[in-house]
Amino acid sequence: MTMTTLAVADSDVMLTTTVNDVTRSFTMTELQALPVERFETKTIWTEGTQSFEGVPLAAVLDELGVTEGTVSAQAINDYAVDIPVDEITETAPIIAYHQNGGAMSRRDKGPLWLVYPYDSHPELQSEVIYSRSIWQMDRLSVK
Amino acid sequence: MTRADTGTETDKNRFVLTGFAILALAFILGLSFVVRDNLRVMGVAQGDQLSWRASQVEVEYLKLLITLRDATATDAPDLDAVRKRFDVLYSRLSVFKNEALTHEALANLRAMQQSLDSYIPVIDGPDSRLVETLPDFQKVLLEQQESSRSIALGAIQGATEIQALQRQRVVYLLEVMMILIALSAVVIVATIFFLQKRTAEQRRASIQAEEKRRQLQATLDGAIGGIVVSDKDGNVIDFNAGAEAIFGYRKDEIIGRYMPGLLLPAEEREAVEQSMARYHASRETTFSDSGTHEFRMMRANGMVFPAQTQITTAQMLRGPIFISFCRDLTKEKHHEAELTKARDEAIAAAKERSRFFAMMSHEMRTPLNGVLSSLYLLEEGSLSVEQREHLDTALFSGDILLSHINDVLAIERSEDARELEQQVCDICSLASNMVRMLEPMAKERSVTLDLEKKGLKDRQFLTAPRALQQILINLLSNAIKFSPEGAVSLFARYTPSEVLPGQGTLRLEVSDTGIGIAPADRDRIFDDFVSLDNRYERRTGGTGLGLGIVRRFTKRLGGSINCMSEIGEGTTFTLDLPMTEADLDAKFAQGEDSLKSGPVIMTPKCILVVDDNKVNRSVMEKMLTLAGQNVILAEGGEAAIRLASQQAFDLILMDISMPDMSGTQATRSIRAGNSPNRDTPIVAFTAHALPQELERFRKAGMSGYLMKPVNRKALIECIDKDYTNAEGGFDVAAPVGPSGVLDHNQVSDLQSFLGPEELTAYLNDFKDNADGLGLEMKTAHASADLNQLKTAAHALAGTSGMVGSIQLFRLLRDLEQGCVHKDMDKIDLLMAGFDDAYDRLCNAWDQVLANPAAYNTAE
Repeated sequence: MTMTTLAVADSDVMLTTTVNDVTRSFTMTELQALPVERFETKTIWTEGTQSFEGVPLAAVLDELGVTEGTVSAQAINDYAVDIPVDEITETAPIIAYHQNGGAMSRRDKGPLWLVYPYDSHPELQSEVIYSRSIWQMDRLSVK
Repeated sequence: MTRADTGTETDKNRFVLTGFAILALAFILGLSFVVRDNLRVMGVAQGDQLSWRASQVEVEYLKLLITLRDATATDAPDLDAVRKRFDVLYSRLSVFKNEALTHEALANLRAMQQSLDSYIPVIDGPDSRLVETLPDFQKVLLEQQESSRSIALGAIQGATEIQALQRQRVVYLLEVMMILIALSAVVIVATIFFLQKRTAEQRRASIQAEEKRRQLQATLDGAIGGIVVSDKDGNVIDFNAGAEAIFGYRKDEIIGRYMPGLLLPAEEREAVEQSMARYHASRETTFSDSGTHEFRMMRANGMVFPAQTQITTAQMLRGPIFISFCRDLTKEKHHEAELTKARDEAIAAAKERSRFFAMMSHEMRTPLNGVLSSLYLLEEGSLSVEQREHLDTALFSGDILLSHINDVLAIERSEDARELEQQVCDICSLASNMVRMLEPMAKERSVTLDLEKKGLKDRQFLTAPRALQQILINLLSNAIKFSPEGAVSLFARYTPSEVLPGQGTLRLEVSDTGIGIAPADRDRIFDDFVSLDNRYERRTGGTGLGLGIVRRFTKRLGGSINCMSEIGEGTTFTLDLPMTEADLDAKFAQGEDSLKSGPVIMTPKCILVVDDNKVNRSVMEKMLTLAGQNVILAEGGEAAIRLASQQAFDLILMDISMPDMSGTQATRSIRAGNSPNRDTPIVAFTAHALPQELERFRKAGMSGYLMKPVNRKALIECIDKDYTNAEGGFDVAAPVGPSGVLDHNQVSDLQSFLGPEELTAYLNDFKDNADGLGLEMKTAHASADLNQLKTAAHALAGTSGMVGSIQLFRLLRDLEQGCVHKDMDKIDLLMAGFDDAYDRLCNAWDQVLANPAAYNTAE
């Protein structure tokens, strides 16, 4: 499958968050300014081992001052999933913005993909975690 | 199956079971991993909400269509929304894995991806171009409406199939595992059962071992001798009461201590230690398991003493142990030394005495011959009456002196090998010559001298004629001397052996009608220098050496001598000498004609059979009943007397040796009382065959004699015999029975009397009886109780004769005779052959029983 990556402007809003009716948006630059986490893992949606780089979801919540509640993540395709805050660790999941060293296109699960290091923790290979692995993520709210 | 085999078998079973269990468990373990992996695969989500994603393909497709329709319907189309929807659908399609789709769905997916790919340049291109293309793109997409649905359905169906396959696989693995678990459970249960059985067996074995150990301990403690048990290093591990008594150590103080150091003096210790070292090196023993050894041993107080030791080794788990049986020989050694000394002294004294007599006699004979010759010369001269009387006295005394000297020299000669030189000898003429030689002496004393010979004619023997001459001269001259005006007879009879050709027995009987010898003296008359009546001796003249000479020569010739005498009636000396015939071509006695069988018709008589042996009684009853006789049985002398007082019999057959009362006693009682059987013929019914016994029977009032074993012919003759003639009943020829183990006539008689079943029972009775008597004989023999031996041998001779034994019967009869003569050598020899003869008899009967018909026709 041939694919051309769409150029993403630095000013483009990548992620919009809503906490307590306060909306905030993050550009790619802003996201990349947050703490970085990297890992390699296989996923059930891809072939071969993938390396991911992104900001831990915990770091974003930290940035938003969220300590409890449930995170509701939504995708460009309107897929939505709830993740309880206390099931989010320091390092997993991450909001990946790089896959195998490059940016992710919208045409291939990008530009933001919430991924877990599935291989390093077998318990992460479950339906719940897979359902939380939301790609094309663009919105995030906390209830 | 032996115990050891069982052990190996069960060991094998155990290995098989254990191996199988381990294998099964390994399989279960392996399978568990496989199943776990499979379950994990099922437990781990291989995908996210597949059905959602699948249906989402259609949703995204429709959303893109709607966006396109909206865009084409307006002049200011929202191109960003078009691009976003395109990307979302595109992204959605790329997620499906090929293998999870049906073929149709896969084809549709490829087609949709191709059409999307073809529009990427437009989507990514400038807005104007995109706007131009929108209607076209919308049209293309619309055509694939069915494809989007088929991709969704195909993905769901494919995933479902994969899951079903996975479940099937897991179920299959679980089933295999269940079977293996069930099998393992069976094996484990079997193993538990097996182990329990083994445990029970081991418990039983250990209880048995404990009991055995206690028993052994008791044996050890109770043993008379000292028993010292030591381990392989020589340390004491057990020490019984006997050992405490011998060595003076207490068991508790010696246990664990070094045995050679405590119980052996230094000079023995080294040898024993070397021996033990050798044993450890090579397992070869020089001292143990090799009979008794005499050691010097040491008591607790340091005293060294002679001991007899027997050491055995036993192999234990922790190595060999040595069991030493010790006996203190101090007293025995002392006694032995004393006895040896006494014996040596006695032998020396006897030799000295004998040598002295020989020398003196020899030295005296020469001058005495001179004196006598001179006296005979004087006799020829003229002498006064008084001088002649003196001369007669001198000659008489000189003759006596010379004969004394000759006797002493004869004794000396009996030790001389030349006197026993073997020569071919005609005993028939030797006997005649001896009698002729002594005739003048007999005539002088008015004694009639008779000679009777039997079996000697035409036979030459290889024997020592000078020894025979000495024997006959002494016996005959003694007999003549003691029977003035009486009668002396020599009866010489040769009986060839039935077993060994060219061998036989010469019997010499010298009887006189002289003064007789008192029973108390009969044993010592064969001693040297015994003269029974000094007064009488003076009259007859004698050294008392005559019978001593006879005894010596008889012994040297391998024979036996026996004396029977009644005071005032006379004396009979009986000699049995083994003989070898010089002429081996001599013909041997032919077997007697076999008896004719068949019923014999006789006048029925009423007969009382007295016998203490049940077997004998029942056979006699059968035989007599078959011969048409009426039979009453009595099991002893007392019963016989009682029955004889109640009823008159035509004939009484009376056993002699019976425990409650002997046959002769019972006969006397019947004869003396007022019973209706006072004059009934009473026939002695016994295995005794000695002439002196017959005499005893006659004196007891018996009318005749029937010899055991009884065969039909002899029995019928006995019943039919006329007992009015006083001697007739005893006129029984010495039975010259057939030779061999079994008397065939007797066998066929028993077979026809008893029939197979009763015969077997009869023989079993006999064997029981004979086993008991045999044991009694051996015990009596071992304790040298000749009376007991004689009684037992006699009883067994009777019963074995009744079952047709020939060889055993003769052996027992000889044994009985040997007991009478107190001939220990003969008794020992016969006892040595007893078991063999008995076994042969039993074997012969077993063969008869195994094949009775063959036996009947063989005759």
